[in-house]
Amino acid sequence: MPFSSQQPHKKNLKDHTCQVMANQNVGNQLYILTLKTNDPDGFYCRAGQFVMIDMPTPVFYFRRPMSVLAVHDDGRFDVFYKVHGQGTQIMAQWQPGIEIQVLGPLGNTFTPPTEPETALLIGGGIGIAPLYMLGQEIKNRTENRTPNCYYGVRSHQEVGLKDSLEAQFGSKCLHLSSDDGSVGFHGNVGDLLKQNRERVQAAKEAYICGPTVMMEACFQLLREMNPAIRVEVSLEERMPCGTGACTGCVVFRSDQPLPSKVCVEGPVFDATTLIWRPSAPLSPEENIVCSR
Amino acid sequence: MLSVKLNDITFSSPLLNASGCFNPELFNTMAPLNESMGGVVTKTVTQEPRPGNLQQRTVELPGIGMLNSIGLQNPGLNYFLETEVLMLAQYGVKIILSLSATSIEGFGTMVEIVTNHPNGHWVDAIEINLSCPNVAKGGVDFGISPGRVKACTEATVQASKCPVFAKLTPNITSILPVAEAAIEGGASAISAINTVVGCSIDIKNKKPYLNRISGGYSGPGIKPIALHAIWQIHHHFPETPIIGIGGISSANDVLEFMMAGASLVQIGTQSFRNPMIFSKIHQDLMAYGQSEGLQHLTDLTGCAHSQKMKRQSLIQ
Ligand SMILES: Cc1cc2nc3c(=O)[nH]c(=O)nc-3n(C[C@H](O)[C@H](O)[C@H](O)COP(=O)(O)O)c2cc1C
Ligand code: FES
Repeated sequence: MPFSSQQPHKKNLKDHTCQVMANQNVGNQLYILTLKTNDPDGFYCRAGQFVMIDMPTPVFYFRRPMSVLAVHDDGRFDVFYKVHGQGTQIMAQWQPGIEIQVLGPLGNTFTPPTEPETALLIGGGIGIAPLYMLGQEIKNRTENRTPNCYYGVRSHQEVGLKDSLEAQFGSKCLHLSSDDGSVGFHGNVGDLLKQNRERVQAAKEAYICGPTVMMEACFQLLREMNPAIRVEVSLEERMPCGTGACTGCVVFRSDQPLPSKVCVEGPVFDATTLIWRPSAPLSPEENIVCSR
Repeated sequence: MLSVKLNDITFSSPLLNASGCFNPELFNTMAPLNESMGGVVTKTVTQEPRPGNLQQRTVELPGIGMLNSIGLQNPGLNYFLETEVLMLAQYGVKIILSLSATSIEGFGTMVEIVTNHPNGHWVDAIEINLSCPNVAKGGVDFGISPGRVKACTEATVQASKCPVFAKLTPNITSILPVAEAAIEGGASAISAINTVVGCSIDIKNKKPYLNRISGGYSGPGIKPIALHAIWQIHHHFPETPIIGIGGISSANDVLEFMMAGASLVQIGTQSFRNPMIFSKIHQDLMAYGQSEGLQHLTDLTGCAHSQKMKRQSLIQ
């Protein structure tokens, strides 16, 4: 049975006025941004959900979609980001005390695993953020039963969250890999999974978040090793609005007649239904395409 | 003070969303958004469902806006009439159905389907999106030919029970011939402008960002282009109501559009960044109206066309 995609928690969607509490450099171009909402009801979201962060300038920018890494009780929450473009370059300059607008929570959530201990959480790069939170959620629900977390990075400079991850999953359940071998297993996270065939075969559920090529490769690999495994992936797409207004963030799915908006129907999808590399979807009479 | 009467429709506010730029489900999650909007314009609906274009569909243009090539993804007219229109009806806003077809007759056929459908009466007005390709003419936009603009408008008006707005493209040497054609075809109002065609290249990968190479440019950077179009249309056809669209981000922008000749406005790209923009602008317009002692904001429509300016414009 495919995963049922859960309804987003729409009722508490707000444009939060937040204060930057900290903006900590935790590795090569990696930062943890800690925000605190002014809203007396605080900020609440679930693993997989994201926020849209506004640039505090009248200059036109889209908001930046960011997965939530952790939520604290006092209205504080963290996002984990990597500097790779104009928006994140601006974000890296933010000092504690400044105010920014944050729209959220947005999107759907992961489906909790039926077997927490065998579940596999597989992250690549900053894709680890929602999985870190999923780990917390699973532990909260199951009196600290810990899933296994596989985390692939390029080098030791990009681990960033190592200490937090060790605290979350324990050194027994945290498995690192790096492309250059400078930390953990030498190779990519797929190679690491191959080394852990038994665990993959014992797993009922897996959750993947990272670059698209990595997610597709890991999904294929998991399926080869364990055809019955259920896999959810959390997708990253360019998001002009994050609220389902622009139809810009779509992904094609085999069980849907029209492309799905990642920001409202996702970002978490059942991996079996995804069309990773769609070809032109147009009906024959319409090979003339409207650009709008 | 902010209400606008257009034909027999009274809009409680001059603020509408631009087609393809709004998710009405935000009325649920970001109430009281609907109180600040006079109506909702649907994403352009085609007779059959359309999957739209492949990724990449959008490009951010920092400072000036964005490009899009969504490709009119929409679930089709039947879905709109069976489902979407009922969802919209519960919010008490005017419903403007944006339509597009691939042939002139197609417009008439679609409007007949709307008129004859039991839920069709919920539609308060129809906006025809003329910035879409005419299959019979090799995919050239209807909107660039006065003859075809007139024919599409006529076909829609004849089949429609409600007012028809013609949404014009700016991708043409002068907007006046097509504006005139729409008016002759029976349009109750003119919506202007749709996106400006544009392109952007990814220098790192040495290729265009958009899968379709070029797309529609929208956002703050197109505001002067839109204002010029509206100025011209109002100057030459002062009796025709104009719905101003293009790069609106603030109450001051709305005032500029009204002074140039618009009665209503639509907001698109900026609402991606700030979905609550309608409420903010609504508040600011109320404050402006009070400080200026205005009875109706629409008293401002076209007020920038002073006599002197009118003469200058005629000499050009
Ligand atoms: C993502 C996107 C989708 C759009 N889809 C439509 C559409 O379906 N039909 C239409 O008539 N205009 C469409 N437009 C054009 C807008 O309605 C509007 O005319 C244009 O964006 C200029 O206004 P703005 O600068 O406020 O965005 C779209 C624009 C954007 C950015
Ligand atoms: S980002 Fe606009 S619809 Fe998803």
